[in-house]
Amino acid sequence: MLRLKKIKAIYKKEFKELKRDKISRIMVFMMPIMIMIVFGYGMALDVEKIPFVILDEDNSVLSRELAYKFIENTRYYRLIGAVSSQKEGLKLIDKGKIRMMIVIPYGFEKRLKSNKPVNVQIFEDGIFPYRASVSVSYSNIIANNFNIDLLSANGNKNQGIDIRTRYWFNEDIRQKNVTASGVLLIALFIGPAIFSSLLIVKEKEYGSIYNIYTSSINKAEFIIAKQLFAMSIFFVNFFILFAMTILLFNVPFKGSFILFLLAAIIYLLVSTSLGILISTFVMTQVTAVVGTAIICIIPSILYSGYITPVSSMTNEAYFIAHIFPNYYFFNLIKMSYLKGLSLISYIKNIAILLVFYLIFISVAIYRFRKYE
Amino acid sequence: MIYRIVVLIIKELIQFFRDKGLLLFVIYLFTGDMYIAANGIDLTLKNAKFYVIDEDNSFLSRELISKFQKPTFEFSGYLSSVSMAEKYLFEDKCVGIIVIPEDFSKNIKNKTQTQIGIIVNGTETSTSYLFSGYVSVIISKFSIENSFNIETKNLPIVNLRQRILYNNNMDSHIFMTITELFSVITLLILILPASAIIKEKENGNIEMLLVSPVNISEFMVAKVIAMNIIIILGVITTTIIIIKGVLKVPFNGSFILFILLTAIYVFTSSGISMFIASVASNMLQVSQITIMLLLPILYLSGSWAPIESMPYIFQKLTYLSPLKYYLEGSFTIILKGLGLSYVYKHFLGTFILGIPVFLAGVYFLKKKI
Amino acid sequence: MNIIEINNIVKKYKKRVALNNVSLEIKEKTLTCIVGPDGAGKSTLLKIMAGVLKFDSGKMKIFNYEMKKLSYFEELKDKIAFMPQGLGLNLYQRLSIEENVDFFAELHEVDPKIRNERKYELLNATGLYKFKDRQVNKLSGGMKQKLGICCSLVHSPKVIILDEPTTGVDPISRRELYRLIHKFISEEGVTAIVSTSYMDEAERGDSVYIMHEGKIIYDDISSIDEDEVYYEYNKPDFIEFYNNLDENNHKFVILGRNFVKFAPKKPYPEDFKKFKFGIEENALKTIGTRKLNLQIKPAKSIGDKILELKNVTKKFGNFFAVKNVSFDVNKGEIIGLLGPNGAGKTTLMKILLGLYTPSSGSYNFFIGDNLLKEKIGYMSQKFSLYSDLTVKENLVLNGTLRKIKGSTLKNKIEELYYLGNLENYKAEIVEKLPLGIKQRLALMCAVIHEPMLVFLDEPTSGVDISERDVFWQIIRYFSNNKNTTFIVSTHFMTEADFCDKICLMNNGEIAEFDSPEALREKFRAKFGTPYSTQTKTPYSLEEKIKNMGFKTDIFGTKVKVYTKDISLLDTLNLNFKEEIITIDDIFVGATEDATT
Repeated sequence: MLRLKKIKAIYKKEFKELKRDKISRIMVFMMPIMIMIVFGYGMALDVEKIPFVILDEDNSVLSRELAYKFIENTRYYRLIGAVSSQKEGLKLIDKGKIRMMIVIPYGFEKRLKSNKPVNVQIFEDGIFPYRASVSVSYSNIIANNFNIDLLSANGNKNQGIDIRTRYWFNEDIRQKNVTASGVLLIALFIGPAIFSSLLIVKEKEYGSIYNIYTSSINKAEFIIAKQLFAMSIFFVNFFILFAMTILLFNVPFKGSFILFLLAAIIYLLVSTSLGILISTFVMTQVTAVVGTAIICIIPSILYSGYITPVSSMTNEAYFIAHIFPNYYFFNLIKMSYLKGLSLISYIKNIAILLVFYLIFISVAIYRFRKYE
Repeated sequence: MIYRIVVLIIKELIQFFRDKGLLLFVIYLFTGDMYIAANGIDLTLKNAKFYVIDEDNSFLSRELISKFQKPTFEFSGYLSSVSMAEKYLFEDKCVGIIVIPEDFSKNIKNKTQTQIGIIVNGTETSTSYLFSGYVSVIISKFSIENSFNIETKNLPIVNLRQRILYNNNMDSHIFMTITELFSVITLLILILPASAIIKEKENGNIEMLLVSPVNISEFMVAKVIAMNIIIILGVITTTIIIIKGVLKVPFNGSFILFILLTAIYVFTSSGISMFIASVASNMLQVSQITIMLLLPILYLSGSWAPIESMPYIFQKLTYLSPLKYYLEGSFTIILKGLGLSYVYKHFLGTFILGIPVFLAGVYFLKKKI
Repeated sequence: MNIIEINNIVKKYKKRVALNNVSLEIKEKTLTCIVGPDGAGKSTLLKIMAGVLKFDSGKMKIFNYEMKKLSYFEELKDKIAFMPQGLGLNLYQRLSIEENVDFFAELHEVDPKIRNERKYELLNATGLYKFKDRQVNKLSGGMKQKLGICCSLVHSPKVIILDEPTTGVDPISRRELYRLIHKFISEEGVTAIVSTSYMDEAERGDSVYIMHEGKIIYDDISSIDEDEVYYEYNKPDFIEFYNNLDENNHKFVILGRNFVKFAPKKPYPEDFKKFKFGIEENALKTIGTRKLNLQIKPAKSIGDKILELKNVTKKFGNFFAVKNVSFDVNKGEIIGLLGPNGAGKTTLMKILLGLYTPSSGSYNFFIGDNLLKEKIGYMSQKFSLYSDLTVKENLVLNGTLRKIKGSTLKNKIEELYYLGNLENYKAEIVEKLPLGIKQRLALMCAVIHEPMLVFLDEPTSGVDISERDVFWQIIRYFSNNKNTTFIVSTHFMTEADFCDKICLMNNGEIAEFDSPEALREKFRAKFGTPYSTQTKTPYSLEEKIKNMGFKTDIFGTKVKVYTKDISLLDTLNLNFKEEIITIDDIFVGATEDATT
């Protein structure tokens, strides 16, 4: 049996302590907002305006036409200028001034006119592989269009294939729809976990934990009181963040708010109980912060599907993604904001999160000792 | 004075190595964490699962599908209807679905226009882009080949020969490993000196030092140097054992130059940590301020997203992130294998931005103590 | 009835034996004092009784239930209160006094009505009521301890276990604390167990256990051997006498301010003043004292003025931490700074050390100009060495920071190992050492560069009697042989007797500044002489005498009364015995006088 009065006593105390701690008080609310702004505005993975140069050795009508195909595509490419030698262009790539160089070889036009294929060399800066692969795919599309035009002009009648691409759930592929709503995934995980583990470890470090040891409050009451407090702080944060996604980032919301709220509460239960679980292993606040951060950041950002889809992860990573709770909450986020609700899927994900919660909290309660 | 600093540095190192918990975490950061980051994430298109709705069910349509090969694509099977497709996409079972219409092979042969639909899961942001791009390229190539009944290599067309410099296979894990190393370094610079100072503040050790002939600058310099030693030791071991050894990331440039740049970066950026120490009065606050500062520094350095694709204001703000200079400089050294004549600017950038930060940190901390 | 019975309990921490076959009985409605130096096992014993620590073997019964498992304690926890060691460590620093008490009450589900009454009563009894809105981190050590006790009493437990509640607390507060405990024993039937490292507090308990190295070495007053005697030598050449004593032939040897106290193993032929053993002597006999192999110079030369304070004042906001303090210190003197917590002792020291700038007034050192920091030593109140370094590393660090190098440093450190009796701890991590050893180490670090003037802020808090004696031998050695000047703040009134001059502080001002002898005479003239009487009901008797208009105090089963004319108490028909005026008395007299 949980005694509400005891839980209330701890809760009230935590509330007062936080009220007195000016910096923490501000931080606890500022941090998620900060994460939202940085990720929401910043995590733009659309690769645009790639700076490039052209080395046109042929300097013919056709070569200029090809070059123009790239130049006119101002959304993806930004022409820095023309270079007169490969060396010059490579040096620019070395210096990081440009990311791509197109080399149109001597005899380009001549070969094409005599019905022979011609190779055009493209150098890509491969430091940031994602950027390089996007650029490769853009340039291929441009070259293909050029080819089709070329063939048609040569009298080869070909209507080609009309490719109709549709982006479901996010028709105008606004990255922000995903990156901003996905911040909930990160902010409601790392913050609550660190906060709740500190709530317990600080008492251990200062010595006030003896009050708990020597009182009749039981382990579950103590842990739940701490958890409730962490929950209520981040419950407020949830509303702030939710409002930001809708009002600041204009993310559409297709699901049911009540159900999403419920999902968020369960997710908070998971993250806070993970923090508490970690707190049973550490003695000082420093290790609690560092440890929790390490344990939480990687799964919530890298293995949740936030950056790369879980479906295309390799076996090992695919497995890891499934043993962290973040993936399931991300499903719920996507469902609520962009995809629209599916009750079965909702219940499935919620149930999995609940299992995580139950495991974390029971291990935490089991591990927490009421003696030295 | 130098003698005293040396003594204080030794003290700091002993204290660090005695704190088993912290030591363990730092070791983990330089090893396990690096490994996970390297293997977990691939921003290029890999194993993109897709389904096909093949209404044509012809030799040509199967031929088309066979063009989508591993490791970029992974064909997961056929679907019978669009509603199935919807369900699969909804459950994130795949990145996209290719819809081949009934008269696909007929149209190709007749050289009449035909449509192919690509349905992409718009919630997988970066991947959906790449997927549709790659699929389009393959399909148009296919259409050219088949409608002319000759192999592409004999057609009078332009073939792109793409060379990816510095990273021939567009291997994502090289990038991930190195940026993760930088994130770890940055995290440690921000948190280690600050927490060591806060600890002394809480224990009243600082008071004792104030009464002794040690002046507070010596104390801080010693702390920063000690933390530098720890971080640089970590960087050296990670580079040799994990990055070169386990993950087999090529290291093309001068190791010494890289370590030198790291040292400058670590030293100057520890000013931020001292600033944190001057503002915070306990560990909770240290951790919160650290995270508040760490995220923008990481983001603005370009380690998450290419700087070109940031909004304009953010692009300008990147000049404020000391990590930007360090990151670009290090990539130049490690992957491009270039010498000082190329990276002197990054050295300068790290230095010029770092010195005021460092001095400001020292100033604030001195004022606070 | 026995509330707690412990039989042959053993507790080991890895290899170290913390409790070695300890047995004891705690009777209902009594005050049990567990006395012993740091590291004797007091805290371990108390934690076991409070149910927050497992023990390895032995039996324990509480309220007649045998505690086979820690979980058995859960039902009893509202009946037991435990206050851990350390100044207010279990309190919530950001909460106010009142909020702390409320929290403890709520944690134990005390009815709000009862809680408010009880809170008022407890805070009034401890004098904290007027500060009830102040945050704990702004309280002095003594106030924190009082609040700690209030917090543990608020849910009316049957047993209260207080781990060193009086460490670092001034005498007035200590008296109040014990009176408070007696009050709750007689009015509410509480059973109290208190541990302390102050030997003079042993007498305040109804029963006393003295612990040493994990064992109980003394468990009742009656166990004192009537035949055992000790002698006192107080002629002017007492230091020469002390220097020549061979420790091996004595059960203990103690160097006082102007006397030598010693208990020879064989009866002494010469005719010295002879006394019977008390608790303290009995403990000393077992623990043994350690006479350092130092030839202390018989006399010291008091030199010229080394420090001068003129109207030094420090204000924090509207609050005067130090107000108009003026005095002079001569070279070679030992100045004792005494005063209740919050009297301004630490603030004053910090001003002199340059850590605070005074709001007004001035002070001057006559030490030579720019090398001030090289010539002063400081040991702060809160243990402030690096607790994650070893003993040796701390010494080396402090030495090298003061530019002592190479073989000089090595020799110096060897000497300090010896002086501080730290030989066995060289390679130990400081954090794991008992407080007493830590404090000794801190003193060694403060004098490593042989400073001219040393500031010691409550250096002996928590150190056992035999170690304190060593501590003072060292101070005496530096003072007499090296002409070092000391400014020492302390709560041990017996220690004030080692000082050349005592500076009694109260509310930031100087209440008295004089030699101990002069202050005694002044007290006698003002309040008279102390007398004591034995009784079974000390609390009610004390109330009775107090109501007759006398100044009183309780010591266990004794009641002390101060009067110039003892015949005024003849009506009570009690047997009064004359006592000596302790510095404790002077302190309480001077400060109470100043406040009322």
